[in-house]
Amino acid sequence: MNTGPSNRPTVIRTPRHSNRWALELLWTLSIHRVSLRYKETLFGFGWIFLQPIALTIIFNYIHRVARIPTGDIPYPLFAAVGLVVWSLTALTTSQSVVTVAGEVMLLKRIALPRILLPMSAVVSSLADLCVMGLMLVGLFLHYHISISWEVGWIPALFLIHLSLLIGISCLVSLANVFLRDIGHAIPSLLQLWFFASPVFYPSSMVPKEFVFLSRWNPMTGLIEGYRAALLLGKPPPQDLLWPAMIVSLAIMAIGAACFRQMEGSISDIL
Amino acid sequence: MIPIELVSVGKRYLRGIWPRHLAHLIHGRKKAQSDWFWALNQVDFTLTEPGKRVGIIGANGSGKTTFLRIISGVTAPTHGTVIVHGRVAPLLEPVAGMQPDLTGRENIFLVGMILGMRRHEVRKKLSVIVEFAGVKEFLDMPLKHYSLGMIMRLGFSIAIHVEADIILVDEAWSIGDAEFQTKSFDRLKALHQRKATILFVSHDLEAIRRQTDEALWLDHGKVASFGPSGEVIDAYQQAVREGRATGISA
Repeated sequence: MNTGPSNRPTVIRTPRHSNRWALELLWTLSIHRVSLRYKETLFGFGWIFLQPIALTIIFNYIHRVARIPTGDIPYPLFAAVGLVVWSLTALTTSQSVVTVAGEVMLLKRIALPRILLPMSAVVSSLADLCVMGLMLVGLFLHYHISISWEVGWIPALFLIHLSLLIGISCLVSLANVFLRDIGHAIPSLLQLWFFASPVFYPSSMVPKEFVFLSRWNPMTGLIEGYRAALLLGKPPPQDLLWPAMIVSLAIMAIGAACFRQMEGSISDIL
Repeated sequence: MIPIELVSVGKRYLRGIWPRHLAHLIHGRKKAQSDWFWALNQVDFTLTEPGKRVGIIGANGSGKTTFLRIISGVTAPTHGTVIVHGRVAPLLEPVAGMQPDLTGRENIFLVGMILGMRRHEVRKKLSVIVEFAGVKEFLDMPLKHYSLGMIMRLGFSIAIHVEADIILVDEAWSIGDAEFQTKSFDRLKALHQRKATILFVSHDLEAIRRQTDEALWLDHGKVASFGPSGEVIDAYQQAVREGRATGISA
């Protein structure tokens, strides 16, 4: 068996892709991803509401049964904020799984910046976020919640959230190319993560032995942060915000680095 | 400017599926070694000036497709140096990147942009692309209701209207009826006159002899010969007659 020479490969290519072109393509891919998801359904975008509404109803029932303390916050509002934040993470993660592995034909024929594929899953999930945001606005009006200046924290929280999503999206889409097991594992992992995150309960209810784990779950800091800023008119709890930020940025850095390192092998493995 | 330069390029592929290779790696290295094969090995290839038409010939499995994939950037070389100056348009498989649920119009924008065009470029060329593909009445119909021939014509039409410096053609000639083939040929000719480099993979040796200036003969992932088309094709045909030119022998 020939083992070939051992010089490292070099590739030089001009002209380079322009960033404007990449952004345009990302936008087009994202728009198509959104429209494909709801095209040819009767309710169209209505489906975006359905899951959070169904879950809010279920949670209200659980709340009745389990008496979850939420302080002065009406429980539907408490759960809805948690759900919208969680839905964005869950949707992006589950969408990312096939963004790369599902594009065999494309990736084997045409060279394009592959990172755009997982990123289109992130951007298209933001469309769902907008629709769910409208639902939140409706709830806020209904419960006469007054917004304080602490909503200024929302953009910061959102950036942390976004970096987490970008990292997860890179990792999940890449991992599913090399091990299709990931595609099967993700739904179960998401379910586990959902119950481990304070979506329908406050993080203050986490049992003592799990507090450490819960704190380093980035979704804990994010959900509690959004809740504090939106519903309590308080800044996000610092002891949860910092771990969320550290973990999210770390996941983004690791995800981007892995993607960069491995993307050259994607079309060979598919 | 040199459009394409490959210096001792090697490309190694996994023979089996990746998870099994991983299992081999875990259980011991010996088996893992034989999982690999070299699709290209020590390939040197330089085009000194743009505007050449180069035919690529060789038996099935001799590395022709891998060669094009390395140049288009779809796959990275395992070894060696690859230098490509210019925008590459692959006319490899005309349905790549198309979405059956999107309309013809949406697909033109999507594929056009994937191939490197800006949105405004696609908009400007939309009518020409549609005209060329002959799908004007079906522009707003989802692609899945198109006939296969229409899809292929549309894909080909999009790719061939990218203003590329290097065009990779992989047996795309059999697409469409005689009229479409003539149109495609004329369009490639026009691109060639504008100094585009055209790499052309085909098993139709007579077509290569007529339509290319130079030919590259690949054999078992190595360059068997590179030179004026007539000479290379003669040598190749001689080898085939003597039973020397075969593809990958497992």
